[in-house]
Amino acid sequence: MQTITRTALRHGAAPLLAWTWLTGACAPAAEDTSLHIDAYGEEFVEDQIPAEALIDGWTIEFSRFVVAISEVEAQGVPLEGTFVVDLTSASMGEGHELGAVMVPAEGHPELGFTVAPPGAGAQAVAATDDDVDQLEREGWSVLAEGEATRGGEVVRFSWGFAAQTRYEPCHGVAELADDAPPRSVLTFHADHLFYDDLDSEEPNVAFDLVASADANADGEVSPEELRAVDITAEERYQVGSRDVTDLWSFIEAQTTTLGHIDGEGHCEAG
Amino acid sequence: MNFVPPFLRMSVGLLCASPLLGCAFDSELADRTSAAIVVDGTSVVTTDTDMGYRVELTRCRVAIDTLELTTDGEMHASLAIPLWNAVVPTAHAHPGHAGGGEVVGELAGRHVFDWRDDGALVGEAVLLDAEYSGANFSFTRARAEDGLLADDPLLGHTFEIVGTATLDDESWSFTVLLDQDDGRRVVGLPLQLDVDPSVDRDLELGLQLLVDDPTEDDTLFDGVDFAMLDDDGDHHIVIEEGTEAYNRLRRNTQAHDHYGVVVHP
Repeated sequence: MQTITRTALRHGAAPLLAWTWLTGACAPAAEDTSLHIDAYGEEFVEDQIPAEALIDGWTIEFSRFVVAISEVEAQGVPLEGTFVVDLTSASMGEGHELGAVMVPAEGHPELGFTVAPPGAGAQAVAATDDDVDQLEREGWSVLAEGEATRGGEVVRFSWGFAAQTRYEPCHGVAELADDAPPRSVLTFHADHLFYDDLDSEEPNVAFDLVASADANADGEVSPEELRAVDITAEERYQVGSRDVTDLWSFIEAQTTTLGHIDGEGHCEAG
Repeated sequence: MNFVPPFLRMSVGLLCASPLLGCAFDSELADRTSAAIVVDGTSVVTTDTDMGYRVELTRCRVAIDTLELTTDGEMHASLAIPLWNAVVPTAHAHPGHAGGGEVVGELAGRHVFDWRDDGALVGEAVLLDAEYSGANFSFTRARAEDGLLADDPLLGHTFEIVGTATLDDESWSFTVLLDQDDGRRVVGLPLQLDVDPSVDRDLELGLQLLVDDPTEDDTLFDGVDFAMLDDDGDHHIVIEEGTEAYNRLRRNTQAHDHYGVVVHP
């Protein structure tokens, strides 16, 4: 090193920098590690959204929360396949594994994934073949089915959404060098479907307006009934600059915000 | 090693001149320009609403926080990365969060002004050299430290709107103190501006309230039935919080369609 330094003094900085450039280019690459990628709906989907989480006392329980996930990648390495996952399936808090990719064992992973209607060949993960067929047939990316209860009131729902959303970049927290094995969890926040504001950083979770949409009083709120609810004069249910005037479109807009990473981590959505 | 071939010396020199490698031999900070932000009241016009009312405003005061000016295109800066934090350390940088582009210019701080006060100076913005395509701002609620007197009706509120609404030959005066959530953003005001270091000029930008939405052909007061609000028949209306009319106005004033930033010659 002393020789290099004297040389640098004679010839200027360029030779020293050339040496460091060359040695940097020849440094051994980090070993690869197998990053496992899961999908998880958390307790709000696997168990319920408890009454304490809503401002109007309803409890929401999903019987199915099926999501079609594709174009998964980590550090630019693709996880091949389209996965149809029923997030209500119990996972003991672990989520459902979609697969694993080999990535350099350094730093934290940066991921991307798409939620979109599945084409042919989608793989059921903790879901049934009927779930896969239904999403493909109906052109849905998300199916949310369940019921809300409050006291003796019961309101059922079964909503399919066709929204297509790319979540990228998602900054994972896994330690690729140290975790054994490292895992990234594509996390889905189902309570977003029941937010009462499209922009507020602290929206409420609420169900009253949804329940009031049951125009035919059959105990089930359909997309058509939600489309008939005009929200333009509502004190809550603010939409910012979006051209959203009915409650179904409002809930549909929220489906593009479901995806997160590693619990509360945010992804850029587009 | 005592000898470095000449081609390597030249190659490394070229590489270090590249900002992408972060070498500091030939760096320079992006040029910045100041621009006066003024109230542009030309779009606070008398308008005909969807319910047939002709509405004229005599006062439209607002409290906002931080006007961001954004680009989704080219920067003229010599370095490839945004320099906002480096150039203006006290500014709020929201790369990727602006929703309408990357923030490369800003009028920081709280501002209270009347959109009827055409030409009034709101403040001096700092702009990096870039092609600007949009703007954002946040609503806030007026406070005493904004320079308001203790009895100013705007204190604690976002908008004070005063005007008249006329239907056939009947007129109603109306007042509304409108509140938006503190920090609620209006994103994506259109703006076309190229701040180019080769052009030496004094920049003035007008901040507009568009009573008539030029894209959707609707008005700020659509859906408000003023006659129905006149409970006591005295033709003076106070639009109260919690009413349908209030909620519609609050919603309408959130839409970026009703705002603009224009370059003044």
